[in-house]
Amino acid sequence: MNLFRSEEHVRRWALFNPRSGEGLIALADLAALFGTPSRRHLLDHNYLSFWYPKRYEERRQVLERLGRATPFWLGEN
Amino acid sequence: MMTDTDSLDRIFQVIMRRLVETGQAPHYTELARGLGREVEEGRRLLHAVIEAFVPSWLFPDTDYIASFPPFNNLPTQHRISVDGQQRWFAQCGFESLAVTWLFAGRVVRIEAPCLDCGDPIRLEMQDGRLLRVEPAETVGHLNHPWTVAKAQLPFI
Repeated sequence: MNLFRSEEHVRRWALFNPRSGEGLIALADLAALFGTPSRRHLLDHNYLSFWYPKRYEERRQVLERLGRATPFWLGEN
Repeated sequence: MMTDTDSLDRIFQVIMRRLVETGQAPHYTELARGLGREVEEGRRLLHAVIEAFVPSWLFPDTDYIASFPPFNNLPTQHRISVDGQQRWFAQCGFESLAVTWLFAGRVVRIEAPCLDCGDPIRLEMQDGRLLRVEPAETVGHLNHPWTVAKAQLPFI
């Protein structure tokens, strides 16, 4: 889960996994994925019990909107 | 032993707020003192909160917090600065984009070397908005399928 100067740099990376082509993501999409409502409440007193359990579904919805609701991106619950 | 939800929420906040304030996570003795509990209870609660907050982890075979996203308690290549002070490290490049939500109204600067060439990547964010991206072609990359398996988290 890294940042690279461009797609070309990703593909040139010594540890690049050739099966990770669909792992490329634009920064704006990444900001959306990590900007879901639960991410905005990390300092709420009930974060762990109330907001954290919502993360998976929020992430799934964003991935769906981005056309990335694939096993590669969804992973496990 | 069961751990009540309120205690886990409180421990979570002590850790996250300490990280926001100082860039460093507390030791379990501090958690215990802060909550008015016995030291061993603090250690037990630390393990319980790490288990509950899946994307966090302890340094292997210790009671030391290694990662508590979006922050990392060990240096990573993802350096975070706020108000010109580089005090924080992000867990990974992806989580670095979530740090903005912990510093409302402030400009959060993310600096990381590219793992291919070592040249710098610089981002600035404020309240979730990308203000600056250098170079403009910067991208994120997930090298292995997404997982919540703690042993694999540092490597995806």
